[in-house]
Amino acid sequence: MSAAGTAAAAGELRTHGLAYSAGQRLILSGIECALPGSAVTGLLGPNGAGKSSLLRLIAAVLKPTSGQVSLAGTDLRSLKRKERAQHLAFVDQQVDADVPLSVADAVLVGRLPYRPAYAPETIRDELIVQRSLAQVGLEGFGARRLDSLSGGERQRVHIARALAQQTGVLLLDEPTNHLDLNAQNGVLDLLRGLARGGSTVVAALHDINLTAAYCDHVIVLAGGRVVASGETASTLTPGLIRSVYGVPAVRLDNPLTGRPVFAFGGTDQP
Amino acid sequence: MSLQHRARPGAPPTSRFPAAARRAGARPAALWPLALGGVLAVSVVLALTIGPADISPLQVARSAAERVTGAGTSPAGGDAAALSSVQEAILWQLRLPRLLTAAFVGAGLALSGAVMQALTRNPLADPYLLGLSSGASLGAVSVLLLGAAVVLPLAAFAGAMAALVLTLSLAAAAGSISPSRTVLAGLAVSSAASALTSFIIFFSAKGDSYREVLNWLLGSLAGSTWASVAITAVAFLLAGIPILLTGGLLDGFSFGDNAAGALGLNVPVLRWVLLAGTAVLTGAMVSVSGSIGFVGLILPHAVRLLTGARHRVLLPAVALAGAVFLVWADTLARTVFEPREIPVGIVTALIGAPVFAVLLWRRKARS
Amino acid sequence: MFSTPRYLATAGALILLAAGCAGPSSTATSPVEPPGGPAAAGYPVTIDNCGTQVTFEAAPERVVTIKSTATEMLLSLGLGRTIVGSAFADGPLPDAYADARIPVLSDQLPGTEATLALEPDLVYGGWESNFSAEGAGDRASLEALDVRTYVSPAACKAEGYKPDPLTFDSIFDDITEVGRIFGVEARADLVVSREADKLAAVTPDGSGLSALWYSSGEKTPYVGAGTGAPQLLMETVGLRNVAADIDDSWSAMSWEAVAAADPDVIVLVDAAWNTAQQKIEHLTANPATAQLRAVRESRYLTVPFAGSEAGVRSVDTALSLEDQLRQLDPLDP
Repeated sequence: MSAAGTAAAAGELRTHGLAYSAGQRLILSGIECALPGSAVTGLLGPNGAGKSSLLRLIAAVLKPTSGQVSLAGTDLRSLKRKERAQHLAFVDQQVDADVPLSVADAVLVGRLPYRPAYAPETIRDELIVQRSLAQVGLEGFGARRLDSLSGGERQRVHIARALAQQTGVLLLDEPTNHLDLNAQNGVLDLLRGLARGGSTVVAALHDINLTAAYCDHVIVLAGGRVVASGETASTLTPGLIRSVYGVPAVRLDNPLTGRPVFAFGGTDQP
Repeated sequence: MSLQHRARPGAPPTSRFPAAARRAGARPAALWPLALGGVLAVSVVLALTIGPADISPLQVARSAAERVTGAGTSPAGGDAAALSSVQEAILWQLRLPRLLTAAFVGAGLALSGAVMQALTRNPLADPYLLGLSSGASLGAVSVLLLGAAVVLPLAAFAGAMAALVLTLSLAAAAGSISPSRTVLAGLAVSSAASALTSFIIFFSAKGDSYREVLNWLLGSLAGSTWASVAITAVAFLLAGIPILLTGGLLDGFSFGDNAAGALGLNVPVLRWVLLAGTAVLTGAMVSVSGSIGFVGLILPHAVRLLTGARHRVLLPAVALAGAVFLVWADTLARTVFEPREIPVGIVTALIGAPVFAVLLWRRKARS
Repeated sequence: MFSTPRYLATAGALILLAAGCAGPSSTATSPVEPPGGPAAAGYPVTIDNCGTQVTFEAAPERVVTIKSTATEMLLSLGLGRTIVGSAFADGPLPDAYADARIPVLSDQLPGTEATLALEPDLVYGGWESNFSAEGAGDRASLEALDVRTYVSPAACKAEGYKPDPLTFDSIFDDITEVGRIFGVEARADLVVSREADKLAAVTPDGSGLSALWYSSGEKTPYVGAGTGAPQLLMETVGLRNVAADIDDSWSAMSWEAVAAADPDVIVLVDAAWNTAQQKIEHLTANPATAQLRAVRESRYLTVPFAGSEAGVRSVDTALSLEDQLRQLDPLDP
């Protein structure tokens, strides 16, 4: 199948009445949303809104209390774990792996869903690792140790690992955390490039302006519910930001990119 | 349905392939298990010729040849090289079973340590630190005093497993299982188990019989028999080999449980099965040798420096290196102060503690 | 809180004791008579015991003995009635003292408080390790409470005090020293000359047999080494100790070193917790030790645990070994 047909082939990722509670505490409820292909969707919301939980539910590492997640009409939980891992890749919030893996070995982990537990990796796996590293701009980094890289480089390695998983859906939790400005833009540019290639990219983000600058779609969560979703330009409004974050905002146009940018007031301003 | 693979967009130009092929071909790390296997074989053969009894390598070779071929072969060496029945017994009933036991115990402990470090993402995890060894000791000492030595390995396994469950549930009681909480919980469990063990010994040891128990608590391979070899070998076959075969999965744990789950691993089941495997290994080894420290902690770190952290290479290398390490540590223990000997646990601690300090220092220097 | 009355009681007793003790040294007409014989001149007696200076102002009257060697020493000197409590016995008393009724404080090492509760004026231990804080109390603390301490000198561990090697002369000196402490020198001299006479009658075996003194331990045997009572006893009856080169009284030894030495005779220490029979079973069950000449030919001698340490029983132990050795069949060629 050609790359041109990818959007259709990826199928639509949807959540249906998704609810999740940890113990007595309700984290998410009634999550009904569509995550379009060939696009970057940003998950926004204040701390504790349930962004990470929603991502983990979609990645099926968390089990929903009720509801389901479907890809092209198929309930993801009805798939075997390995099958599912061939359709969805997940990059968690940066855990500082204190493991002296080389960059190539870290990416090779993404090939686990494609072979039995006892089988060694193949030349094909190795080639895919190289290709994934090239895609994230880390060609030649394979032999470096993971813990010798900068934060931005390390985040790219994690994305390369997700790419090696060869999935149509890429889920990322706070991929720009702890990165400097340049690295933040680099990672998001990379994600946009992948979306343009046909992937469904969903990223939980903290920064409203990064979301406004890079995401095609946005889903805004507050108190465990979806309060708004849709195209970024039309959905992300000063009124929404004020109601969700309690912060007054004005929307400007970024003269350098032409994308919207928000300026915020203090919480005590009228 | 339309859930099928797509070619990844932006396929790299073919000019990149040679680099990839080079990498695939040149994986020197993968040669480490082979090399270490050779070192182990040579070590066992060499160590067989070392001991308080004066038996020359030539005599060892002759006796070995006789055993292999069945009977007394050529008298070419003359009577000088022939071994008495006691010397035969020294070689084949004392030294060889002890060497093989050392190899299996070293392999089992080092492997357990490497697996636990991966599963708990905790560089300090090892059977000793998470309380498994102390739990196994407690189980073993309890049945020793009941006089039921037959069930010793089972009791030690039960003790190790109980300690493991206790440590992990204690660590999980306050939420997710974090490395630091795991170590603290392990400390609590191992202290409690050690205290109970000491209590039992203190209250039941008569006359000078505490000596035997003390030796055993410090970890000693003295008195290893072919039965010890059988126990440790069976444990290694049942738990060690499956762990070695599926070790590649442990790489999936490198970036957290969520990442592991998203890679298609059944995280809770896999974690418990693998940890139960380490409990089987630790229990069997402790039931034969007592709790020998530092092997499970040090060897994985040292071997990672050589092979990198990929478990498919690391695990067999660490098992072999653990075997080599304990064979030589025990050779020191039984020869340095001959005709006396010291518990091998003292040797491993004397070697292990400074090595660990160096590893910590290197780690600090790097970051 | 509840320890205060006891402390006061102890202190009170000590004051009374001190007052009573002032008698003999100040007035020659004192009727105070040490037990075990007529008043002996020469108090205070100061001795250097394993490096600790101990001064006796008078003969001890309330003694706690720890281990069989201490108890038997006092019994042999006719001082049984001074024993207010005996502890940590290694085994039954010899037949000669079958009638002695000795109060038993504990089967194991007693704690400090239990020891002090008997209000002893002397704690007499068979091992230095008996005087630990977890045991009967460390020597300095006991001395501070005006309780004397004494360790069988053959068990001293410090350089210059430990047996180097142990001799029967030093064992006899120990008997004399205890006699001096209790003011029963005459009785001690009698015991020494009796034991010396018995010893003189021992004829060493002349066939140059080698022997292992197997005290305890299965994984690693604990054996009689080159400087203590086992070495002395084996030497006395003409056995060559295979562990003679180890500079210690007892020591761990590897089975391989034992097998390499392949002793002609094995001396088994018989203790209730680890009998000679159990040791024989272990030796025959292990395929390596089963090959030992002494095991194949069942050439065993046995010694009760209490007789395996230096003391008044040592000569009797030597006699018993001599006797058992004579009854062994000659070695197969």
